[in-house]
Amino acid sequence: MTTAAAPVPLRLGLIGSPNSGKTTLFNALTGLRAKVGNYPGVTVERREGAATFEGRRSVVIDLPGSYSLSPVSPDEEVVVRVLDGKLNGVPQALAVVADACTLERSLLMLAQILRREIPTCLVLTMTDELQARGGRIDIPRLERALGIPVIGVVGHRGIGIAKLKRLFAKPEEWSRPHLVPPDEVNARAGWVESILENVLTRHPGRNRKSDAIDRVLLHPVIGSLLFAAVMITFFQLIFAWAQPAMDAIDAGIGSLGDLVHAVLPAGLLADFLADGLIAGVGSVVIFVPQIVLLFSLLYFLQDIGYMARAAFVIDRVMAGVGLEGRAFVSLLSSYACAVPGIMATRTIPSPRHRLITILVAPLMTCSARLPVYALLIGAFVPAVSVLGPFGLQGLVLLALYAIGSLTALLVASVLSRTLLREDAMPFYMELPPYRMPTARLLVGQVWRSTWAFLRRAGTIILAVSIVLWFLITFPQQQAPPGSTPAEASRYALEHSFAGRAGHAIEPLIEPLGFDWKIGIGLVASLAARELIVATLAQTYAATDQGSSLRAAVQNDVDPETGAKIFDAPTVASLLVFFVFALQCISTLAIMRRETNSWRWPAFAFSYLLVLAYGASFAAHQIVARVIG
Amino acid sequence: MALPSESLVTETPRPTLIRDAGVPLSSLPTGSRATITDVDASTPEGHRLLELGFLPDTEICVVRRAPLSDPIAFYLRGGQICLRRSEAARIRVIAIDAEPAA
Repeated sequence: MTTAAAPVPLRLGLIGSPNSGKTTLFNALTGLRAKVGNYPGVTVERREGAATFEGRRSVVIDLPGSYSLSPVSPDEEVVVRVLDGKLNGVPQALAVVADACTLERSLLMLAQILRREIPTCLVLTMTDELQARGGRIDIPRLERALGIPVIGVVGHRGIGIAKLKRLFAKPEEWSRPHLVPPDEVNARAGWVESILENVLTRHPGRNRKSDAIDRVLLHPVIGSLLFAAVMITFFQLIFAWAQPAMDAIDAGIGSLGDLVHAVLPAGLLADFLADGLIAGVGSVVIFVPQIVLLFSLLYFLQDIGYMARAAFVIDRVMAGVGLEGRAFVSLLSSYACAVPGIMATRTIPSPRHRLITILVAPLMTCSARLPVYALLIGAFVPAVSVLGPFGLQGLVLLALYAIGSLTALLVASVLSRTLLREDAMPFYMELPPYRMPTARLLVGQVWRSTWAFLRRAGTIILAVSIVLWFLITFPQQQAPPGSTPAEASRYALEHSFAGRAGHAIEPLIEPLGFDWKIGIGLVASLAARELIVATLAQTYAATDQGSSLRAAVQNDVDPETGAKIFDAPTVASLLVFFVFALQCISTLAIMRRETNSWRWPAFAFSYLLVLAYGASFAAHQIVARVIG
Repeated sequence: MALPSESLVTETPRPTLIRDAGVPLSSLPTGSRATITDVDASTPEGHRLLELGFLPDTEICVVRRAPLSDPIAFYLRGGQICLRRSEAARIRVIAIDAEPAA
């Protein structure tokens, strides 16, 4: 935000198609100081950055990538609304960014933009590539033909940027087109042809290097194998590489909490700081390693040009369930964590495909379910070998992954045929030449995405964590005298709001085979799935979350009947419940951020809860019948 | 035996106006080159194809098909774009190599 005393900065809009080099140019002009937000009412990302052109303070607006001003996607609608002046006023000047190699196509949109009669200049990017491919554009002639300033740049090397900044300082002096171009698309095509006559003196040839790489990467057999290899590596890296950093953050948060307990006198303030505030902040920061890693890989693969190829290879498969190729990457990331997975849906242009992907992403088995699975499988599934090296425990785990993934595809297919059927957007995707992204571009993109997560989702997660701490802490009840600290902690939990909620929902969850102790765990796990393990440890007054807790749940019996609480039907039912239920505040918060309303997180939470309840009930019944 | 009108039909040279002529782009074999004759722009989706540069008289090349033969990648106007078969079927083309010399 600008201060009131300073003169109003110049508002300059960057407009161009995806892959035109717009983001590189934006970074070159504004550095890393860009502000990221959302346009009101839509899920489209809004990027603005401050810049100074020859001492003139300016705001550069990076408009969403667009192929035309006849919009078919929310991104393109935003561009039209900005040009209409419906969002913060009409920009005072426009820079149309166009890849010099595909200038013929970009001019189709430029014609529409020139009809707006806003001061406009044309920035030609990738001029080095045009030259390498044997193409030639006569820039002075193009300027004369269009009647507006034209500048060629090589954005990632900074060539032409200084000249561009001088130009941007004085949009009032820019020349205007002599004639307003036609509107109708075929007439526009004729206009483009007449402009390019004597300007595009040599057409660029095909990009031989890219074609050669594509012959390997998109080979029917080699390409498919490579696709599988890249995706498995991608998955593995997010899963495994983020772990040490996450463990370190976890340990850091833990010792910070211990430090608070050691320094402050025991009591509510220390409890709140350590278990409410610090743990709450920790539950946000813990996602940062995965998000940074995921976006580094995602943006690298995208900027280099592979992501479009991967989507090209897998599109047919995804089309079978009503999605498109670009949804695959997002669903794959959700195996690590649905939060970065949902953020990755930004690459999907169709709002309908994007929404369906967001709604099914929580069904992919994320890493937060693993502690729950590990506890239950470790305690109740015998470690016997079934088929050579494959043990029963591993097979059960695999089955849980498979149930989640297959259900995700099934739900996507149902949603695309029912609720979200209308608004069919054509599938088209550019396969840009392979280009090595600069470190600067990557760092900027990763930083902006991570910051957006911390600011938007982080605040919601933190607030809810504090509320949850309150629920498991209050009202405070004195444990009976003579009880051990573990027993006192159990007593306090049982009589807290969360404990009462556990008791209260017992009739509801009884058909699933759950008692009130599991109920408390379920209430706590609303914040994050893995919290059920910590809560059960507290409920069972277990001294640790490992062997002691495992023994406690194995031996727990109903005080009246003497029957085991965790019998086979209940264990099956609880496992299945965790496959489906959306117990994750962070996921709900990121859904809220990405869809800009509480409607879709509420829908996802409800349908997954219904699914979880039904499936758990069925699992309970079936296992009980089978065992007899 | 043949009626004059019939013989007239068979002997009429190929029309020079080729707007309705040609085959769906989706049916062209990989590697072939063609000229777009017509695009079904009756829907917004079809109109978008025009905005992307799939315009009549544009030269287009079928670069490759995905492993499951859908989508299909095309080269036109300096860049590569892929479309699903159903989208490509809205575009009619005349293959350049197959065009009769006369």
